[in-house]
Amino acid sequence: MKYSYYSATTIPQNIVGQQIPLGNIPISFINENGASDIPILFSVVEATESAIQNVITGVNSVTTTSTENTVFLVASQKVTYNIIKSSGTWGSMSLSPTYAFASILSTDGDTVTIQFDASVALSGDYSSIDYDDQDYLTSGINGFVGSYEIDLLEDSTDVGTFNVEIFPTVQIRKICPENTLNFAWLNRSGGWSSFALECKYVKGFSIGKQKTYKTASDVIRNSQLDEVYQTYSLIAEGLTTFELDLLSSLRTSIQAYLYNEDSLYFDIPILIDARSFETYGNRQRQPDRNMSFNFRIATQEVIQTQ
Amino acid sequence: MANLVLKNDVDALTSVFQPIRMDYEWEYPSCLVYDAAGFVGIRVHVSFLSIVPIGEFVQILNGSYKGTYIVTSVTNDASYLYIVTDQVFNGNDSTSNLFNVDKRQTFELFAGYQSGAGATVKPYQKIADIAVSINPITALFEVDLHSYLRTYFKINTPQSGIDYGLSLQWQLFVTTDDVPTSQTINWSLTQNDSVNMGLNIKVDSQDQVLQLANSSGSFIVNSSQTVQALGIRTISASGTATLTVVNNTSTTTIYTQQVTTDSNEIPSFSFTVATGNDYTITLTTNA
Repeated sequence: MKYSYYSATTIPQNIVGQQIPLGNIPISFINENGASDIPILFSVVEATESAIQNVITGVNSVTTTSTENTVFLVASQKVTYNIIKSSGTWGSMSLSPTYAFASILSTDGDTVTIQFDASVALSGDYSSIDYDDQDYLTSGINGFVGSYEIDLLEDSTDVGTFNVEIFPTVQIRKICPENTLNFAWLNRSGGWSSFALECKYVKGFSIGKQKTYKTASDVIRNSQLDEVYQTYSLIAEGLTTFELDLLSSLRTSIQAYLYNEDSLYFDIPILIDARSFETYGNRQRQPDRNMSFNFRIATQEVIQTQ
Repeated sequence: MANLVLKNDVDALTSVFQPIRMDYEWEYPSCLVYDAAGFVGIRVHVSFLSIVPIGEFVQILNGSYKGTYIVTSVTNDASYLYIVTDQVFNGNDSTSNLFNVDKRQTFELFAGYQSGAGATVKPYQKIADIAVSINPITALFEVDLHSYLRTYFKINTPQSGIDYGLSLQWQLFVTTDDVPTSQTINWSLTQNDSVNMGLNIKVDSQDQVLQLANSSGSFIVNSSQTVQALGIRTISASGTATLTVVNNTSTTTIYTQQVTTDSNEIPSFSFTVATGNDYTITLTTNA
């Protein structure tokens, strides 16, 4: 069997089953108010069928009765699992082997709460300003990057397994979710990228065509508005080189979505106005490191006619 | 049956918006031009026997005889096929040494997932029949698949989990016959005078070939039929015999056994004919 991907660039041959995102390495976003995580979407090539696997990290907690779980984290994120026993109460719970990022917070009746915290601080940089692969990609915040299989033990008996995948990040950014638009888009490497962009934006509507008529008393009125869409015009400032590089790939994407706070999915299709897209300062020391562009929600608004 | 063999493969992982080109060539592409009573004769490997009909066109790809010619007659021996054309012979030219049958060769492209969740979302199926003419410069059949494969992709709203819309498994097959389910079995018996042996081939238990003297030939079978090949000892004599079965499609020897003729052992082998595969069965004896 051979394998092909929806990629416009050459696919490296060693990425199957590896923790190598298709496209730019994701940037980790956390809530500056509550230190919770912000959803991040990216894609990898999984090992079983060499198929594209989309990974959404940044879920703060998971409650499940399943004892077989795969946990995805980007370095600096954490997640809490509440495992509910199908019948009865848990005994003495432990994890094997033990890792610094995995711990049992509590065992209460039929619920055992386990935390995987890849934000445990280690020596190294957390900022991309002085990016250095000697101390940045292999240690520091990426010190826990890797694949782990951790058994859940009840009274020393194996009752479940966590397959923990911790992906590298190049940067952590604390943002205010209230001022954030979280984009996901198909990148040229054939996978999804995402970026929670803290920005100033103006919401509005674009109107394609309008028809008018005059009443008997010569009053002009609208009879119909066509092609009405919600629009956004935004500007973001103080971006880093990595952020500018990641965001610039949004301009050439053919499919882009916004995160839906109601459905908790990236399911709001948008259309980027590529001509409005500007990138400034892809050199670190340039004074202007801003980005601005316009987009519209791709779902047409329904307007009454007369 | 003349086979196409893979000359240049593609990487295991490919981008569907970049060229995905597989190159095939004839297994025995070389030829020799000779004087056939004043006309151009072309000597090629005998495997071309079944695909060079009289009246059709053949090509010489290089040298002074580079061009396309009509076949007027065909003869063969065990090793070569001798093709006589309508072209007047103008002297020997050793640089006219690459042969092609002037006909587009066909390939079958299958794509999708054969098992698992992907088999429901993107099932394994044939997505294209591809006919390719030879590139006379490279003497290769160059099959570029990326446009065909791209038709089987679909962008879905991003969700967690495996996204079968953005990836694809695929396989390419050479269509070796006009009737895809038919395959050719070539056979030969090379018999030393002092060892009296015979070759028997059965297809679905029915005698197909029973030969007791030096000879060779071929016949058509259908896929899934069972073929039994065995050497028959008729007169006890000292010596050895070797029965060999080769899958010509993968050029793999799937069975070979040598026995002494004064023993009670007679080599025998059964196999099921696989789709798109051709075979050669040979019994060779030695004193």
